[in-house]
Amino acid sequence: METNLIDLRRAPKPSEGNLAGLSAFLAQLVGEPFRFARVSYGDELTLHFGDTRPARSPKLRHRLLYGAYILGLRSSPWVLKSGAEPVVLTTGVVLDPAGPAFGRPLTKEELEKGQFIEPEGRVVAATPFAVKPVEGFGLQLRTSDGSTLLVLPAIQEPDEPEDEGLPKLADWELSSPRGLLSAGPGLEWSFKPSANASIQASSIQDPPKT
Amino acid sequence: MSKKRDIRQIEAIAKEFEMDSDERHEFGDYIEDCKRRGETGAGTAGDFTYSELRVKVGEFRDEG
Repeated sequence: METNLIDLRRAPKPSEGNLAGLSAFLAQLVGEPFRFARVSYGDELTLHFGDTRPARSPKLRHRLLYGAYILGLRSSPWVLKSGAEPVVLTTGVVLDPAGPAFGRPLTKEELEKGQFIEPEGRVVAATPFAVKPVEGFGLQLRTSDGSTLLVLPAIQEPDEPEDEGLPKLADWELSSPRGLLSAGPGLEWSFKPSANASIQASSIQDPPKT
Repeated sequence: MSKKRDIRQIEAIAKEFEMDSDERHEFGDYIEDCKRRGETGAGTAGDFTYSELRVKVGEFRDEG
């Protein structure tokens, strides 16, 4: 059996379409237990994994926990096939555009309390992929309870006048103890090391084959 | 679908006030919490305007 080493201390070089580098950064999420889902401002779904910590803000410290790893879906469409229950959740995705509407709207509170991914279910795969029609990176996440999350890159639309000067949004991002990984917009990704992470900003080298 | 402008405004605030990703997450959750507790802003559908969000930063950081 061949063993492969991914050195997270050496930052893979972000470059257009560098799917292998993006995959390498996502490897750190594999094995982490799912903790909970939270809907943040702007209806952004965030999924928390790994060890939890209390909020730093004095306003939230005694009320909210945060996972060491936070997957933020920004404003992108997503589909979650639950392994815990026979249900599929969708946001911004119509599974059968030609068919009759089915399903029912879910409130933010229902989404948060639903436990559609089993707490403690481990991430077994985090796989990015290129979506050619919209020129962006998608993400497929699988957990040990049989759940599958699919995140699709948002279709880029021209800014409205009120949006001028606002930063562009990533399609999804992973916040981790090592830093912030952002995918998109477009077929680009970036990694910003956290202040206390010692990461060499150099390109990754392919491990020698043995 | 999530409201892209709201998230982009939080991003802009995070840049302006030099928040790291942890603080930015918490600030977004704090604003969401304010909304769920019934606070409304002057923006569309009760959303907070950018200038209201700037004021909220001080409140969030408990700076008075």
